Amino acid sequence: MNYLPSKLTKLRKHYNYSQSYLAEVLGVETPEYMKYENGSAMISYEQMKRLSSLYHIDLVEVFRNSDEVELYEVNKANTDEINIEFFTAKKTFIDKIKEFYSQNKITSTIIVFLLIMIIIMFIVMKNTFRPFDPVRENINRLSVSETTVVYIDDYSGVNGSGSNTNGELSNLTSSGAIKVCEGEGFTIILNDDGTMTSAGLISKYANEIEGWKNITDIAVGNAHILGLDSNGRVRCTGDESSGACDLADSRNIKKVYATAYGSILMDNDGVLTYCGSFIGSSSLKNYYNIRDIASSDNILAILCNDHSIDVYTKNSMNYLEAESWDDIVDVACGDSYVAGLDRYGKVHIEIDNSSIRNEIEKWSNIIAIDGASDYLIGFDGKKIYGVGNNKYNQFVKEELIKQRLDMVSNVVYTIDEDYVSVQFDSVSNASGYIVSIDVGIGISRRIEKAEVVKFETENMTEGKNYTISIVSVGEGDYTDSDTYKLNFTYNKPEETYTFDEGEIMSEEVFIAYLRGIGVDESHIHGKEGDYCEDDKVTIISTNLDGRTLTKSELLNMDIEYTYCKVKEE
Amino acid sequence: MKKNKVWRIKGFEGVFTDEEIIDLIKRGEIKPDYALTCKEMKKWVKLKDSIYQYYMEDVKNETV
Repeated sequence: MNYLPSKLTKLRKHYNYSQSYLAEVLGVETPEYMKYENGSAMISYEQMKRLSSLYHIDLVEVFRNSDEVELYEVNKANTDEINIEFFTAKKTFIDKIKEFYSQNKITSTIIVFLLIMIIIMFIVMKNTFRPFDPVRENINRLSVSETTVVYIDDYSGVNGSGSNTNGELSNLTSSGAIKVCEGEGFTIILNDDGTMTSAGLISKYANEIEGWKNITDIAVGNAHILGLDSNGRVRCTGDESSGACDLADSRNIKKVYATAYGSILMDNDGVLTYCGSFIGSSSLKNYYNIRDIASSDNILAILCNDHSIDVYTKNSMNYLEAESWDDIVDVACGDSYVAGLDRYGKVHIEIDNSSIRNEIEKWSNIIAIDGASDYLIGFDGKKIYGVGNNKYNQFVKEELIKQRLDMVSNVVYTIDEDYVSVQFDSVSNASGYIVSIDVGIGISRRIEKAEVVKFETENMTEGKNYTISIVSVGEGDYTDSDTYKLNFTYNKPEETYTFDEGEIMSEEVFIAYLRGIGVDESHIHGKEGDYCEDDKVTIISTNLDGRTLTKSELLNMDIEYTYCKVKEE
Repeated sequence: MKKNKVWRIKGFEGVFTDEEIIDLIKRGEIKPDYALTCKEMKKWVKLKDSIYQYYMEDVKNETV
């Protein structure tokens, strides 16, 4: 069903625009616009952009086939005025620059020189002081509970391992997951369209959270679920007996965190409030603009804005401190350890157990960590690493890991007059291949087996460089390979001539054929051979027999042939 | 007027114009589960979830 007509009508009526005005905005006549609203014509990309700009909505909202769109209370008269003023101001500013330049050419040149120097310095500084790796700051892809490990793969799908007693690992079907959280016996997923899905949750709560829309952040405790919507409003459901949902309906919030039986909210000014009970809660009043929080029954670890970790523990655990760690981007803790992930992918841990410390020492390129009371998990984007108690097989790596397929090998291409043909060796476990050439439309082919793929040369330009790209496609336990790339220059091949062996023709026809190609007669040498079978002089053999030669090869070689001699009467 | 190549198709290389996308849909080279995006959109949207599924319906109708 096409929802565009109802969406267009709804938006236009909400803002009280006429159809003729919309037609003008979209650059069409009114009857054409009416076709959009009655579903007999479709808008273009350019028109989508204009609608997105006019109605102040994301282009995705226009492109998505749904009539659910945000309707803002906008005074259109004011909006138009603002736009006009903006463009007028812009024009005046540019004019002033031009005027200044024409009157002060030397000063202007110095200013431009200084600006260039500042840009160069900025680039040098940027390379010297590397920014934090955004991938490692994206800590939403991994979550653990006491019994399960769940992560989001490269394809935004959710995968998990461990105990599935409540169905918390069943039907994790999201294809657009951006954050995943594990509670005790349930999984909550935040999707890229602002909706939430769950597994293992009792239907009362599952139905409730599936009704939450435009969610931008989630957090989960042992038995409660927090959602933050795009307007900064907090939702909370689940077991409210611990007081973990006491701050539900709070406004102007930009981030939500959960402990086992508590909730922590950070407002738009970075100020923290909390509800429920957990260790270290009273210390939160000393913090603002934090990056993350991890908690267990004995520990509260706060990842501060300066990428350091502060640890609050029960008195008996004073040995746990993380002051020496720098550049931390993720934090986790259990009953007797605290761990931090630094910007370089290295995991640090404070724990009274040297074998666990040694095991973690081997981990590298980790992008996220999370922990339960007695085990810690690291995730490098592909594999799960675990230390500690594994009694629910939460981190049996072989079951969790999706293997990346090998790239194809022995790729060869041939160019004939009409096609570029690509051939390569098959890859074990590949379910297919995507082969493409960067020549424009219709140049990607998906094939099931490693067979010859042909691309028409019609749109290729003589002497231009092109790239053949091949990806092995993975399914099930395998993910797509990296892209194999092979560059080539397209040169239209020379015309070729094939000479069959033992072809019988008269000497006269043979020479005429060669001369027709352009071979000079001085290059053609005949000699007498055996007697002919009849009175016709035919070619017995040539040095071209069984060969395929280009025109230039033919023109630059001496061609020798033997002809039969006619018997004398 | 120059046609802007704006659309990207997940799994395909290169960028495509509106017309090329519509042509690919009508020729069945873009399946309902293929995702599209452009530089103004931060997400991939599957063809079947987009308003361009309108052209897919054209294909169905023509087949029928």
